[in-house]
Amino acid sequence: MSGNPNLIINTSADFFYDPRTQGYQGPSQAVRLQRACTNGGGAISKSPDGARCVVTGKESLKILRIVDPSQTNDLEDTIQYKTSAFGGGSSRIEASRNFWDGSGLKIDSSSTCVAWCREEYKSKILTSARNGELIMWDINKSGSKYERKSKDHIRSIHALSISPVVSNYCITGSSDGDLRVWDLREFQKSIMRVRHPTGIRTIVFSPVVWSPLQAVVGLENGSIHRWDLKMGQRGSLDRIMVAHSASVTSLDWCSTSSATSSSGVPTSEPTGNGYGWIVSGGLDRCVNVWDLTSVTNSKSSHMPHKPIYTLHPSFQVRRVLWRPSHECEIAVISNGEFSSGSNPDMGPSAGASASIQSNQARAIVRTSSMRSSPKGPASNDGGMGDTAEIWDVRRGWIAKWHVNGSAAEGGSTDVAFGGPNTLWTQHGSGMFSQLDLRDTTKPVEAIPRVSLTSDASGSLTFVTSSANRWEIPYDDIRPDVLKLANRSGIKQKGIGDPILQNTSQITGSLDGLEDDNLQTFVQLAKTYVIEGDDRQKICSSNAQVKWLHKRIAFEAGHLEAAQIWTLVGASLTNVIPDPPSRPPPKNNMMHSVSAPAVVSYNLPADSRTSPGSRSARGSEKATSVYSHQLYARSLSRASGHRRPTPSSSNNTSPHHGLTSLPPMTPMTGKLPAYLGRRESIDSGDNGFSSRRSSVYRRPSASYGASPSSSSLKHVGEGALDDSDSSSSSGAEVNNSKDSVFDDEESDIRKTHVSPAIAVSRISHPSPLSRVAGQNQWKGNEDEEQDEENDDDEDSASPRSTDSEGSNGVSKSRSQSVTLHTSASFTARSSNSRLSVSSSQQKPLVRQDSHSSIRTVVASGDSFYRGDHNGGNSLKVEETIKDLRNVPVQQRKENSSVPLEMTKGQTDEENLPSKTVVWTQRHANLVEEEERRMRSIVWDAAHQKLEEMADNGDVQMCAMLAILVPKELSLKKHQRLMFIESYIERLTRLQLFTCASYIRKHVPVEDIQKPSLVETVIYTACGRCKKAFISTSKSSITGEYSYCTNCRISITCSICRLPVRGLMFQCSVCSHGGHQLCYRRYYMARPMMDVASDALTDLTSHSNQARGSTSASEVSRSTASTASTAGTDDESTSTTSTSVQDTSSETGVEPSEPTSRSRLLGHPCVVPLCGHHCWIAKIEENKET
Amino acid sequence: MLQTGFINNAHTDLVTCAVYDYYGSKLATCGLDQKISVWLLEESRWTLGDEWKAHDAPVLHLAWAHPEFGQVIASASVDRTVKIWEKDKGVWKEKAVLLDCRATVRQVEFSPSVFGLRLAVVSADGWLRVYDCLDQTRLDAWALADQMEFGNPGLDELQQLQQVGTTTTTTASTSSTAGTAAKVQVGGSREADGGWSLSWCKDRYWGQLVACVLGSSGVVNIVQFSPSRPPQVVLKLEESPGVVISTVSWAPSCGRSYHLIATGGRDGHVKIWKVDGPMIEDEEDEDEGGEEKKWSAQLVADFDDHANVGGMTGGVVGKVEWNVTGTILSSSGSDGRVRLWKATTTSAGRIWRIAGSVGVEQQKQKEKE
Repeated sequence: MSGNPNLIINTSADFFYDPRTQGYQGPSQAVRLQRACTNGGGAISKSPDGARCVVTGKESLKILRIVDPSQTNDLEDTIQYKTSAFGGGSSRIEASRNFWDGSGLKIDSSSTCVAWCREEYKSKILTSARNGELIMWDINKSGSKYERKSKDHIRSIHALSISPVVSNYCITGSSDGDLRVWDLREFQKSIMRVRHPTGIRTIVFSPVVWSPLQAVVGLENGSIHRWDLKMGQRGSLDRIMVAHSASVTSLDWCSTSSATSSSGVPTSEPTGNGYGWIVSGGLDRCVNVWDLTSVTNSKSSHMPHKPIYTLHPSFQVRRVLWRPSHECEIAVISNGEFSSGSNPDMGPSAGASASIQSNQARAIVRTSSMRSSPKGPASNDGGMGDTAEIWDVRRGWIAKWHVNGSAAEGGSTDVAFGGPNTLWTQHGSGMFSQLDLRDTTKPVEAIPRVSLTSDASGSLTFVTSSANRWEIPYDDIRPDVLKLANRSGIKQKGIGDPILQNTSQITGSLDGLEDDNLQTFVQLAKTYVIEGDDRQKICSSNAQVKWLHKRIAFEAGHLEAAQIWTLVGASLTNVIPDPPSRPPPKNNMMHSVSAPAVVSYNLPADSRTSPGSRSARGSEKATSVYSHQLYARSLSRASGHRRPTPSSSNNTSPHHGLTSLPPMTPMTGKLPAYLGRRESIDSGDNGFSSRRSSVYRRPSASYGASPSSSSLKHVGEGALDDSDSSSSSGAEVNNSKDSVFDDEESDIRKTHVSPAIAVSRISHPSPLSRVAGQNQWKGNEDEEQDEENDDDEDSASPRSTDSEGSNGVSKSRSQSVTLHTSASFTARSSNSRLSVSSSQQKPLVRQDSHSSIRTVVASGDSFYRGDHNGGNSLKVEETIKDLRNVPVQQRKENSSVPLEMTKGQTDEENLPSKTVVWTQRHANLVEEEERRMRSIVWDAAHQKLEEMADNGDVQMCAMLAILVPKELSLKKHQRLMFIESYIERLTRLQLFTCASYIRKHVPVEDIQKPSLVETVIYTACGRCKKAFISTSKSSITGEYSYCTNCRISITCSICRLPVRGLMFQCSVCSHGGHQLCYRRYYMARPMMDVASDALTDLTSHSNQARGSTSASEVSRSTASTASTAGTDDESTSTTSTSVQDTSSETGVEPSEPTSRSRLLGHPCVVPLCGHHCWIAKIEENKET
Repeated sequence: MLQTGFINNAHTDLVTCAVYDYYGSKLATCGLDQKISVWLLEESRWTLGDEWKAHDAPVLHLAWAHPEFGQVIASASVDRTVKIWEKDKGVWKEKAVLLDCRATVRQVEFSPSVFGLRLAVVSADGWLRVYDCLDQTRLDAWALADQMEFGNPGLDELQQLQQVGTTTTTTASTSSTAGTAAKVQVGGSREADGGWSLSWCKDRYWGQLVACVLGSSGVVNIVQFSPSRPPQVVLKLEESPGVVISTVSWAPSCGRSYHLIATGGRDGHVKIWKVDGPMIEDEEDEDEGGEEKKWSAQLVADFDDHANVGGMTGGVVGKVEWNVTGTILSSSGSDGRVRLWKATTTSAGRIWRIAGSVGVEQQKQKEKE
């Protein structure tokens, strides 16, 4: 095909054609004759005049005449044709009597091959026999006997060929390995014998006019030999020992470029094509085409030892034939065991029958196939053989045409071309067909050309195709426009053309279809917290996570998710703490769900007050009022009318001020407007440092109204803190980064608190960014704690002890709120600033985030205190602060456009709320309201959940399903579906630790099951690496402290005591010991500079050991190398956390060559080792 | 940003199938050259990991098993076999050959792993077969667990047409105005004209479900398999009968209460069906036993963008595929483009829209650069 696709497209309709529809338009030439031959098929040979053929098989030899109705009938035959058959297109086959009948030949003389002689012998037919006989028949002879018989071969003759040039020469090849040359004039004995090492399967006489006495022989061992018959045994011209990897079954030799087959009429002159081409087919399912065009008459000229084309049919090849007048095309016939057509007992035969498999599989597959009832289309094809195929040499993997009808009745046993467009085939059942080669199908049409596959990370790999209708091998040029096409630069195809290059298809992959989503997904998966018994706190901390990550990836969807978190978290907060006997959230939820009237929030609340057993709740219920107000606002706005205030006392309450605010439901489309409004409020608060302090002062203002005697000094302290922090916000960018390194150890220590956090850090490329990433949500609260601690230290109020105590509690619950010294706070906050500054936010916005963080911490503290200490007024105020700030301040982060709002309005809003706090006392009213609000909130949340499910937000759905299934009235299987699909997604992303974290902490049997079974720890000795084999069934605890191979007990390098369990071990220097010892040791010591010369070998080591940058694989490899026990990924994820940190750093190390960096390492514990067990790379110039 | 990576000369002839493994870190491709290649992602480039000759005929389809069964690939081929391959000690080994199919095997797919190691196979003989692995450690024993035949009227007609052309009995061609009526019936083979595809339901809560298309009937059958009774067609998706469906893909439901099934047809249409059905309930959820849901389907989207090729109609859809959350549908057709479809929530409900397309020409240019 030409290299100019445009040209082809423009002119293809003119030049190319489909020979099936646009070529010869005559009637179909297909015609079939039953029982032309005995069952088992036979061989065909075409007569020299082309109108007749001889078909011979077991005890059968018939002459068939195929009558084309368009031709005039010149029936000068002396043969009498007895039977005939008509095709649909009025073509006709006439068959003669069976010449075998009465010939006196026995069955061992059955024909194996047949040849119709030429020219002066054109009435003679030669057949070869299984017993080695060569029999000559004369069709004109009236008698019933064959003419002559001769036997020189001692075994069966497989092949028989008559020279197309010299008509009286015939060659035979036998399984005894002899090639014999016969002269038809003296038929008694063969005139020459050429020996071969193995049996001959096929033979072809040279069609080359100037060198007719050559023969090519295909052997059973796959060799091809070319002989000069004039030289006899010494006339070996070529010997291709491994032309095929199995027997060569068929050869055909075409000598000229016009592709006259050996069966066709040879040209009389030497052409530029030398010896032409030879095609060979073998049982190795290959068809090879050999280029003999460069071969000359000289003896030193050899044919190439590599085929120029190789075709790969799906079956073992019985026959190959050049198609006349179609250069490049070869007919290929299968050697499959043919069945007897109408006899279904013989079953289907396929190329598959030769496939090898294990015995067991075969047995089972067989029995199962017996079960299948053979009916339907499958049985209609009973006895289907393999289709005869026509291949184009340029396309070696798929046939050009499948000849329809050729597979029927057991498939073809032999074929001959009746003409360029007709194929004569003898079928296994004995039927003879003339097939019209226009009745063919393109097998390539059934081949799928496109493919798509997508993976969990959102990348899509596609295979697309822009198939040209006239692609190779269908580039048949219309004969009448051939010259025109040549002028246009379209070359006619010809043998010798290059093979097809697959250019019509593009295979590629698209990455990053959901890249932003994915990054956020991964980060969130690593940071979401689901454990702990305080669900409200979980929600709020997750909301924080969401917010902070939102900054990294600005995504509209995450905004909603964070709002959901906040909403859910707020809804879970019991305004009035329940009695300890009652599980807090469930009961309320049940109430609200079961009472349908609750939903109609327009009714006065007084009518539905619950039995007021809990009226005296103290000041805490004030917060509930507040939260009610929030939701009431949202509802009233959403429903379009204002909610009546439930009680008279509320009329004087800040409800007026508040109801003027827009609704806060994140579910409605009015969300952005609302956000804008909220933002404006907070920008009013935070736009100036004075305003910000006013917000912060709110709790202290309520102090004044509180009955407790806590000092007003606190107010001052708060203000002071704010000024501190605001000043530090100016200076924080300049803060020394040295403290980063100083603090790093403590950071590392902190990360052990929660596995989720530790996991998140794996993906961070360098320790600095890791620290920064961590501090994005930790540093902020640190700062807020900083302020608190400043408060505490300065004021020495009772609050300081309280906050510390609560911090201790939360720490023990794997919350990441930890107690820090004030020295480290500045450093961390500066870190957080660093990371934030990358997202180009104003300091103002950052302050917002601080305040929002602060609220979370406060809420956590307050909740604990509320639980443990009851009515301590100090804590109550913090609760107020929390509820004020969580919904308000978090929303404001969404838009970066600060709107101005009057200060008075915010004050108005803040001020009355304080009064409310201390005036509202009707607990039952509050509870009722709360219930109503909640049911509405949960309804909305449920709606949102379904929307998120529609949008495929598996993560959020699963999180909600984990934390608040009952509130969302999720059914068990719904919950399971969410969680399981989330786990599957995590697993697909290879976030195994996240998945196992979910499995561990979701108390559902179906989810925990996979982690509970088959969690096996395989142990091995750290010294000899041999597995520990447990010899005793008894549960001796110290069993693994002694290796039977080394005959030594393994001692810890630090404490010098034997290690009786899992062990930390450096994979290089093999020193190691207790994990606890090592953790303590390394945590207590700063990392040291690693000399640069040590860099090379150490990094190369670390690359070898931990070359993968994938987080999960890192954890996997270190888990196996660093501890003596190579264990399941999930089971070691916590124990090898400390190792992962460094390994991930070293693993990523080479990918950042540009930035100047320092290598820090932990030297080995062992005194003279000199080895650095851990090395981390620290980016120096991250700030700039 | 979108990144594109190309695999050039993956196979010496047409590539028929490309499949990610469970994690997306490996890619298996197969082609006309009878080989299977496994590609590994290294530095965001696909590099050839393994390549081997798998069949004696073009390989049409591949499927990865869940990784809990090891690295296992099933391959379907024109040679009427399904082979099971496993990477064993670093070498891909042929573990089993399934020989039941009597025609080209068109598609294979492993079931969700909760049902064990099961393999569904459609072949051009009109049968849907499901195999169970009897020995998951050796992978060599496979039993035909279920099979189901789908009558194929379109196929019968075609065969009759072929018979007319070649019959020996002189069917007196009444309309023997030669040249037109007696013209040779040029049709594709039944394989080229039909569509064979299947897709498992990715969730377990509705039972073992397979959506399959066999032949030229244009009907998507949703078949439910159950250990206790023979397979059942619970629903037929039939929009325009006679239009051959060439590909079907069942979306991961990700917790949704309904299913999405996408089909692509030879008429160039991509269709999305929303399918609802009764769950296989857990024991304790009897409360809604009274209202047994019926299987129902609703056509929610129908696009014909692939039908136009260069201003002409006649394009066909070759493959549709969902993303992992079932929110983005990608389709590839003979127009040489990959199109992406996505749903947006509007006031009128969820509406599917085109979300982008990738064309071959575009890619070629990029390739040159």
